[in-house]
Amino acid sequence: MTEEQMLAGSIKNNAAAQEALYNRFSPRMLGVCYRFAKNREDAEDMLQDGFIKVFTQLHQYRNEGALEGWIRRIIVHTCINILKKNKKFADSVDIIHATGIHIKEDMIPSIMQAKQVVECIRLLPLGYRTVLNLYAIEGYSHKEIAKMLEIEESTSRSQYTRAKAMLEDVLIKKKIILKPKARVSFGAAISPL
Amino acid sequence: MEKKFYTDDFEQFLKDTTDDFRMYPSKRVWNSLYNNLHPGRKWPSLAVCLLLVSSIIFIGLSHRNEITGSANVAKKDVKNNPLIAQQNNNKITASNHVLATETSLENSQTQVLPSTSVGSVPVQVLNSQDKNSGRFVAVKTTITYKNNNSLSVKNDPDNADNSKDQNVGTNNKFIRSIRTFSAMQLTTAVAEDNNVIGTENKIARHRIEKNNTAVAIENNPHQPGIIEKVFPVVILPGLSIAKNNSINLEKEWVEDYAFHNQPIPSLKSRLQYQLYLTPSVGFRTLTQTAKYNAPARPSLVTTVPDGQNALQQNPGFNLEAGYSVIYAQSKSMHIKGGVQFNFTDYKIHAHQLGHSTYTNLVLKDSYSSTGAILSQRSTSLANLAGNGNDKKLNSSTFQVSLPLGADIKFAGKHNLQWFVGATVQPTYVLFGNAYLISADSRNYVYDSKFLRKWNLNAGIEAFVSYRTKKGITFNAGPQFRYQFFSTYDKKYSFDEKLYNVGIKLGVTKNF
Repeated sequence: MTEEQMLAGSIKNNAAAQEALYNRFSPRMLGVCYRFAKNREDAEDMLQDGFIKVFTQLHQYRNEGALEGWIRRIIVHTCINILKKNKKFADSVDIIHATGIHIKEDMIPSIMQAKQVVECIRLLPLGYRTVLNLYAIEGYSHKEIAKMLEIEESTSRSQYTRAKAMLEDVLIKKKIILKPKARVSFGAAISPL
Repeated sequence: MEKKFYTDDFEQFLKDTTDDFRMYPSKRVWNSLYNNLHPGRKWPSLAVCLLLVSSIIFIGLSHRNEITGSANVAKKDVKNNPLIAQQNNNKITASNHVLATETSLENSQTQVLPSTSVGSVPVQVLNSQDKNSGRFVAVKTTITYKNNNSLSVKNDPDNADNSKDQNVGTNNKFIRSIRTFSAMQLTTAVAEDNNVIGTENKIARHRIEKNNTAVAIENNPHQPGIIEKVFPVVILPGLSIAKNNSINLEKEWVEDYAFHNQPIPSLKSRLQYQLYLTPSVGFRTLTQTAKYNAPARPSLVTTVPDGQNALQQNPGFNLEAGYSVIYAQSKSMHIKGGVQFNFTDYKIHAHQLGHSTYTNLVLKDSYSSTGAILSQRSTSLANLAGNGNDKKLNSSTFQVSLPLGADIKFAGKHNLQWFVGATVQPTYVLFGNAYLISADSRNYVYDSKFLRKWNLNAGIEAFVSYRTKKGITFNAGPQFRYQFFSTYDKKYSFDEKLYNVGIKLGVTKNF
């Protein structure tokens, strides 16, 4: 089934087309949800809610840009909305508390693959992780992130700076990335975005 | 993954790496999504459930009706037959032992015409049936015997006992004919309505009561042995009935009654419950259904031959325990259904590594050109194909199933009988362990999310049944159980079918 057929069928509420579309995009979208979620179960709940929105809003898709990108944006917004319902999330993303957070060596997976990078991202505090996901991976600007998370733009920048530093430190420790000459270790000053 | 990476390209690195990351959602997600998108399409499963329940209720009720109906006929017959009533210790009494139907005949009277006199006598006979209610009603009719051996019949609508049915007594057509049944040496005046009483062929039996009154019994032409009506007859003078003949006829009637009205066991007596336990030995078959030409990957384990033949496993102890309700359809056919808990297990030989390594699972993917993709996993379990396998992995599941099936007796009498039986068992896997073999057969990956939740099993069995004097039946015999669908989700590239052989031990008792 081609993407056009899946799209047309899904708009007509055809179950086979919807399942084909779901099978096509759900693995990657679950990967997206997993980076935001606390655990796999939460990620699957996010995925489910996201795809309900996808199918109910599919008629609004205007073939402007890739379908995957359109679905991805809906999934990301769904993840954010679900996270925002959690009070702890609001606290963690709004308070700058870089000091005192430390990722222990034994928490870091031994073998680095895509999954391991994702797992390293998931080691970050929730607020850091969310901003990092949105900025570095999903490509949202700090202005957009601030609007989405209902925080100050400066908060988004500072959260990202700390998240990036923390993640770099983990990745360097695992020798996945090499230590840049200008940078010494986790917690050091990072060039402004 | 490139290790020669500089953090100046940090964002690009993260984006590239994580874009490749995929996870496969569980079936639950799509099922929930589907139910959300198509709430109206739940009806097929609901309809199947309703159909099943309705069928069970219908079968139950129809059997119940059959039994109840038969019982009613029997009661009615007994009520209609004072002789039978007498034989049953007069538990059912008729106000008039000559005529006794449930409604209109209680006040009926039949009188014998004096054998030597000429005269007339009022006779109240069954001669009409209300089409709506189906009730027989009585009309007073006068039958006159004359000197010239002829009969005259006169309906008496004015004197009709129509208190029970206002439709009675409107005209004279109720008494239509007088017939002589010479074969029985009995002449009867049969009052009949066009739709009620047919030809004389329908008159199957007659009986002379102790007070010399007589009744004729009409059988239902479509249901031999089932009495349709009892109505009065008048014995004409000069045509006396030989006593012996009357006795023979009566005996014949009783025998016929007994033949066609054998006692039917009640529903409760047909139902039994059974508790059973089946210890067994569990095995599996493993078939690869999709392949992927995986590139060589570094691994700590390097001396393992490829292919599933290199896998080593031992049979495990399995156990089933259940409760069944058994319905005795006949002496040789029992239908059963119930609930059963299953524990399945077999042991995989593996080696516990001192560290984690990575490996790949082959997953089916219809969008891939090869029909399969690799899913990277981390594990510390290796398959050394018999060399240093120091760890045994219990690949086990806990299931609940609803077995439905039948047993057929093929030998035995009385207390000792032999049966063969079969069941189908829709099964739900509650939880379990799944150790998945990697693409190169060198590792096992633990991931219970790959366990298929719904499955279908079938069991066949043969058993000896011994019934004690206390009514408890002990069953014992071999059983074979087979799983039709793979243990794992359909995305996984291996199909595993479980089967086990065991001894089923059961205790059965009537409710």
